[in-house]
Amino acid sequence: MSEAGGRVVIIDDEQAIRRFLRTVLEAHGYEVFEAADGEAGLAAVAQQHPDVVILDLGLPTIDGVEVIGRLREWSEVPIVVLSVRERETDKIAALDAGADDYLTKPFGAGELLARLRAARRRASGPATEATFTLKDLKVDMMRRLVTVKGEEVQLTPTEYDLLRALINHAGRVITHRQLLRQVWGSAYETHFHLLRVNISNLRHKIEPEPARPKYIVTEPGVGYRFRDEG
Amino acid sequence: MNAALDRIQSLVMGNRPMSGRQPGHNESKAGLSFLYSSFLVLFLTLLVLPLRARIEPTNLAMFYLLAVVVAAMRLGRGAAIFASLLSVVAFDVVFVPPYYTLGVDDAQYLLTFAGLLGVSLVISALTARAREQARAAQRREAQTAALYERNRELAEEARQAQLHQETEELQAALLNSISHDLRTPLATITGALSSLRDDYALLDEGARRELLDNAYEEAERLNRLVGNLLDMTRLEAGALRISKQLAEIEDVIGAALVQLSTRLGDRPMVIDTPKGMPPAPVDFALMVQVFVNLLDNAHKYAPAGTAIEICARGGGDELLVEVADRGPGIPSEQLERVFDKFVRLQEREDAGGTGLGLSISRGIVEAHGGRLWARNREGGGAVLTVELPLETDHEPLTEDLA
Repeated sequence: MSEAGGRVVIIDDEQAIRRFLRTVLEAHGYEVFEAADGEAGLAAVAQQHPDVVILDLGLPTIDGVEVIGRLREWSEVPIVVLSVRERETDKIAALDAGADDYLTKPFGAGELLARLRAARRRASGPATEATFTLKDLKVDMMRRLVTVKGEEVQLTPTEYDLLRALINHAGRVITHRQLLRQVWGSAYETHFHLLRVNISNLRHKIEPEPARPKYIVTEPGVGYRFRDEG
Repeated sequence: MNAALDRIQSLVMGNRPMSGRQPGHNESKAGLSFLYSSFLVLFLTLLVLPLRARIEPTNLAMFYLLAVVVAAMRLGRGAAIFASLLSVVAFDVVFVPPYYTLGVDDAQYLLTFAGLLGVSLVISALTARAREQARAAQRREAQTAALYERNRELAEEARQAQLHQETEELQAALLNSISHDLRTPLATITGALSSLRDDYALLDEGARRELLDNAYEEAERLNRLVGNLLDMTRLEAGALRISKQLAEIEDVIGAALVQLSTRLGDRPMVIDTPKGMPPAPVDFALMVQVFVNLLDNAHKYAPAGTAIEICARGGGDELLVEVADRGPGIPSEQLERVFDKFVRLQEREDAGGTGLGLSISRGIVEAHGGRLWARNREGGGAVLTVELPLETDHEPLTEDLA
């Protein structure tokens, strides 16, 4: 997948993190712009027209979630937020406010680059290919046919819709609410048990080891992620 | 004068004097007790006076015995003898005709006087002796009590001193342990990075890779350690918020395995979670932390290449998850101690870790109303069992996490 030539704005008050991100991103062909707080970050996005924004949630003056809200008033630029383990509710608030994904500190460079690629893919529109293939899993969208190691897997219509919603988000986190809205409709937004049971059933059908999922990974307290690489 | 009357009244009623003086002090105030004796006799005389016309004087003499008994009990031997004499005089003057003189019409009354005096003196002596014995017993009791109290104080002081010392030792061990455990991974990371920076050209590709992997793994360990320290702090401060939501235990275990994937490497895992297990009400992120700690621990002690087994069983009111390894096991006397803070098995100091993981895990499981315990396995190795209630104490589940 091509990743060269992208422009990225980093909004983080920690200079050491900005330095680390710049080094990694420049090595991968990104053009990097830095901002140390929310106001400067908003200005940088307005001026530089980046392809993606990396935003720390724990900013000093205006809070990261507020920066997302203000950005979303006029920009559809993909946003990946940085947060810490203990702040699940902050992550959900950021995703609800319009962030595309998050990274839990500390994170590795590989993880960071994968998140940026996935977020930018969202911006370039949904995948239009008729078949999705990952490792032993193959999904034929046209025929609604799912195979694992070449063997057909019988999914219920709900399980199939769930799988397709996850694949459409491949590589990116999708919250419980987003999944419920997309698969069951907004009236079912808080029917978490439906999601839980269907995810479990789906895993038992497509995962070789349901307790060590290769495809549908749980993001504790937030939602799920369909792992699309590695 | 009123005070004196109060005093007499309280003496007659058997109450303690209002002044609150201790009995022992009265003896030094002999004059005062003679005065009280006089009042006592006067008081009785006035009390009985209305009966003079209706009752035989001989019978009235009995009332004076009461005054003598009270004087003997309350005021001491001297005052009682004084009361005896005074009673005879008062009886003669007030109740024996002719009234208000020392003279006696009927010589029979001389016998009454003698009888009254004799009985009074005997009562004085007996009662006073009983009183002195009681006093002595009281004194002995007070001494014993004082001695006992002093002993108790000394014991308490010793206990406090020991507790203080133990607390200090624990704090010292805690600081030692934390600084050791924070510095160990930092030392590896710093060492690896400085070597890469300074000797880059001297190192071959394999050595560079080795240093980088080493530094990365230690950084992950440092992160787990910080996470545990934070959880422990919250747990101890009572600030750990449990937000329960129904979750498949399989999902919790999976998330823990993802977090530990680098550390576990190619360690064989045997996972037995039957399909259709009931979901458990848990705080997902915290329960993941529990299994990260249990698996980390099993991995630490089990020899390379041996499998770690995870087995879940559910049904009825609870769900059980066992994490079993083929390590050296836990000496039976340590089975409970391993859940204490900063306790590591002595023979495996090299295994690293803070000794916080199991303690925190038990704290989290108990905050869920569950239990966590250790036992040894047939054929060698340890089994850590998590038991979680499937009932939710009838409190509504926080289905809505957002």
